[in-house]
Formats: sequence, C-alpha cells, structure tokens
Amino acid sequence: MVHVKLEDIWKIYKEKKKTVEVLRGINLEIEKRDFVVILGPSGEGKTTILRIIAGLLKQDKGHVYLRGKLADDMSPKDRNVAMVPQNYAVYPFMNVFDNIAFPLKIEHVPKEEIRKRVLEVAEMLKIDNLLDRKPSQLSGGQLQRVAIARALVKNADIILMDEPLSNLDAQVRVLAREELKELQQKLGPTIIYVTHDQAEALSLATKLALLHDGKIQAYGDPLELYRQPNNSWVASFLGNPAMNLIRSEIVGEKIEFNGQAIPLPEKFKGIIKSNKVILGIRPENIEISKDGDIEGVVELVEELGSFTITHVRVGNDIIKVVDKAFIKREKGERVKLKFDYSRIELFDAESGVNLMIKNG
Amino acid sequence: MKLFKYIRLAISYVILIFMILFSVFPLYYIIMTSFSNAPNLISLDVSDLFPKHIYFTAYRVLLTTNYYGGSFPLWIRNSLILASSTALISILLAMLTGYALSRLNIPAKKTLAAFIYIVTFFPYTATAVPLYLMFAKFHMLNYIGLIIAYTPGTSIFAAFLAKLAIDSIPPSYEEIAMVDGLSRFQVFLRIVMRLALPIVALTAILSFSGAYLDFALAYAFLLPHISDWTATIGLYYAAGLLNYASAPAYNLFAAGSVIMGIPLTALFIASQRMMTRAYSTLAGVK
Repeated sequence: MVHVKLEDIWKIYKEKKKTVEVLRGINLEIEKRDFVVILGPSGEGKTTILRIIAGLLKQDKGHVYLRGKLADDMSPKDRNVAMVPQNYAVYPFMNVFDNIAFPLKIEHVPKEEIRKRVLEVAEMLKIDNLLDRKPSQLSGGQLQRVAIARALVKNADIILMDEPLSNLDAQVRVLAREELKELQQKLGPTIIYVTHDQAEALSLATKLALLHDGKIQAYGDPLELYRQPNNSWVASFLGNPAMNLIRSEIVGEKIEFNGQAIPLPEKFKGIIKSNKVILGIRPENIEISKDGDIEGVVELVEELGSFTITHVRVGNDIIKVVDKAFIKREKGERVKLKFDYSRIELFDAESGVNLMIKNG
Repeated sequence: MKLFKYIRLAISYVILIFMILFSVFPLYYIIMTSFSNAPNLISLDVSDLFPKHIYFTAYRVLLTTNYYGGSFPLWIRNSLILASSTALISILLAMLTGYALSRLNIPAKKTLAAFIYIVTFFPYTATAVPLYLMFAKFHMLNYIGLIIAYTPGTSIFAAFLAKLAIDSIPPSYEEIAMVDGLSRFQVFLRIVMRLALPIVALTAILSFSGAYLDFALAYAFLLPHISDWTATIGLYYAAGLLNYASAPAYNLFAAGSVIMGIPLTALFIASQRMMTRAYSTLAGVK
C-alpha cells in the first residue's frame, strides 16, 4: 500500500525578478514501513520536500497523498505526521518530560496516559533518567533523543526527519544511526529522512531517493543504485570516491579513450546505438597491476589509513583508484591499471542514461 | 603582587561607593522628606540627613483626604488600571507587529521595518497637542482614548525589538508545534511569546512605566473630572503645585512619590527575575 505519495510536486521561489525552481516535478511513492532516505547536495530542496509533506509549505503544483488520501488542503495539525527538525527544536523553557508530552497535551490526552506514554518512549530511548532536566543541561546526543521521543510519542505512522544526526560528533552519530534503524524496525513507522551524508543514507535506507536539479534522479534499493547507477549524475554523486566517468568512443569491439583501448564487455554488445558513451567504473574495481592494459602516471596519492586513493592521469582524464595494498607510490610514477571488466557501466554521452537500464 | 591586587580593589570600591552615593542619595532624600512633618524641603545639613523624629503625617494626609470627589488611593488605582491596560495592549500589539515583520510575507516589509525604526526617534511629547486635538474631535478624551493614545508610542519601539527577537528564534520551534497540532495563532501565543519573553517583559516595563508616569497627556485628557485623575495629576494637585498661590507641600509630594514607586519597583524586581531566567534558558539553546 502506498503510504505517502508525491505527485509532480513543483516549488518555485520568486526573489526579485529571479525565479528559482527548487522542485521541478517530484514523484515519489513510499510504501508503509519504508525507511526512505532522500539524499542530495545541500541547497537542493530536500528540506522543502519534508515541509511540503508536513503541510508547512504549500507546493505550487502537484499533489500530496497521505495514507491514500489527498492531503493538499490539510493543515499541518490534521496530517498526523511527526517531525524531527535539524536543530531538534526542543523547547528551552520546558523540561524533558514536558517537551516529550507536549504533542499529547495539545491533543488533551488524559494526564495518566500522558505519563505512561512518555515514560514508555523515554525508556525506549534511554532518556528516562533525564526527564526532569532542562534542555540546556543536555548534550547534543541527548537532545536528539528527546526530539525523536517527542516524534514517537504521538504514535504517528509517518515520521519526517531533517538531518537529525548532522549535529552529533562522528562516534555518537554511528551509534545513533544503528539505534534509529533498530527503532524503526521495531516500531515500524514510515520514515522519510533527509540527509546529505552518503554513508548515513546508504546504511539507513531501505529505499534511497536521490535528489538533484529539482528532480528525483533515482529511487530504489541503495546497494542496487550504488552498483548500477541509472544515470551518470547518480554515478558521479554516489560513493566516496565517486565512480570514474570517462568520455569514450566505441570502435568496433573496443572502448577507446585517450588513446587507450579496452575490450567491449559481452553484455553491451548489441545494445550500443551511438558511438559516444561515458564509461563508468568504481575506483574499487580498478587495480594497479603490472599486467594491466591502461597506462597512466600517478598524479596524487591520498592515504586514508585503511586504503589509499591514487589519482592516476590517463591522457586528459584522472582516474581514481582505491588501492588496498600498502605500496608507497610517488607522484609521477608510471603505473598500469587493470579494470574489472564485469563491473563496467556505460552511459549515453548525451542523456547520461545507463545503457543497460535503458534497454531493460 | 598581592599589594597591587588590593590597591586595584580599593580603587574600584572607592569609585563604586562614590557612584552609589549619587544614585542612592536622591532616593534617600525623597524618603526622608516624606517622613518629615514640615512641608518645606529639608535643608542640606548633615545632621538633618539623619532625622530625629519620623512623622507619618504626610502619608496620613495623602491617604485620607478627599479632594472634591477624588482621593489619592483612587488616583493610584486609576493609574494602575490605565498603565496595566496600556502594557497589555502594547505587548499584544508589539508582538503581533514584530511577528508579522519577522515571519510573514507582507509587502514592503523592509521599508515598513525601517519606517518603524525611524518613527521611534520622534519625541513623544511632541505629539501631545495633535493627539489632544484628534481625540477631542472624536470625543474620546477619556481612559479609552488615553490608552489608545499611549499604546502606539510605547509599542512601536517594542515592535522593532520584538522583530529582532523573533528573527533570532529558529522557525523550527514554531513548525514543530504546528506539526504537533497547534494553529498558527496558538503557536504565536504559546511558543513565540514564551521564547521572546525578555522582550515581552521589556515591553511590559516600558509601556507600564510610560503610562504610569505620564503627566502631559493625562493632564490634557483627564483634567475636567477629578475622580478620573491619575496619580501624577492628583499628586501635582494635592501637593499644591497646581495652584501657584499656595506654598507647595513637598513632604506630601515626596510621600506620594514613594507610594507611587512601590508598584513600579515591584514590577521591575519581578520582571528582572523573569528576564534573567528567560535569558539563561535562551542562552542554553545556543
């Protein structure tokens, strides 16, 4: 059952003669109990989508359906969604208990019941010992738990989260991520989560939506999208380091670029229409090896501890290689690269669409 | 090194004591005058500064005398009602204006904010005459007229402050309250007003003391009816300052000032606590 549906959502801001089309036809169907992460660069309107779903902003075009019902004219309070904003917005003038109880107080839930439900979520989030503290006495991680508790206490089946982990330190963040995932699996709300952090998105999402240029560029299983990006933008955005994209030409049975040539993998034969393609290969699928068939010069070495990113210049292109071997390489060193041909993706040079996907 | 520290401390204390003398002496002088039996100002002899006798004559006279249908307690009551209503309306007006300027999408917002800022520089007494003429035309030379005349003057500066205060409140506080089930106006009352409490308190103090201590406009509006007078007009009259022929009774005037000062001091103390608390909780967010 489609729980949240966005249909051709447009949002246009007018600023002094300039119009900015932030969202240009967003389509998204979110199933019940999905953990959907909307991932995109900063300033691309991710928060705008959440605010439109919550009813805090009105879209200029398109429709929002919640639980199968048209929600365009519903006010925020009638939409029965919960929200965790980026800065948590835990009211400084109330203690933790009153903060968590606030949504229930608004609904005039009986006092006893409020107590019971607040204690329940507080225990679940391990903040039951903080209930009489003021927010100013809490750490960032604790504030984030209070904000999540406040969202959970309403029993809303749709929870919107706007980068709730971005204000935490790296270590706390990884823990919080795991807990959030467990919580979602246990309680089963539909969560729509917005972030610009790829690692967060890939680890949390049951479904990943990539937002760019005011459109959903890709929507699906995060690992699928990672392995087989449906277009060249997704390829260039997902992954750190991102996929290598090289402008190439198909000549006969070979892919040629910068005077180098590699054989055209079997799976592409017969589906190539135009000669101009973009070759995509993930840095972890390239090896620096003596029996490689592509020659290049080391341009830059990024040592990151567990692996090294080596930037290799091949003609006009820089190819990044994730190197797990601990061999010190010097700038200017001549190396040979060996591609894992089975992991090569080809994109149309003009539209950027993945050739494999285009042809089903 | 230690000696240095003591010298530094000594110097700062000398300066502080000197300043305390200047700020406390006038208050002390007024209080002493109010307990004096003689209507004249006590002469500035050191021995007179520590009175041998304390008389409550001035207070008794002030609190019991009936002045042609008016009395000082009645005037104080009038003043309190007038000042409180002015304060309440000013708070509401200032906060609503500030909220609109800060949050809502209204045309010419920047121009309006700048205009409000400039208007606050006009001296308020300059408007007394036109206000009098205007309200006379509307037959509103009474309390309601006076409150309507006071509020824009006090709330316009407060509106500008309110705008700045609301600007600094992250909108997510309001958004989350709206998602949780409050309407926009409820959010304004329960969240915005509470988060901007320092400004609410400041507006309350400014507008309350402005209306409470005003003489010029109240005198122009309310003079014909003695029972309607405010404490400032009443005191002016009771102490004989209105009548040039009689000798002014300064002890009465001083006693009246002390009585008038009580609610004002109470308000300051109460709101000072509220403001520091509000500031500290606000600081906790950042």
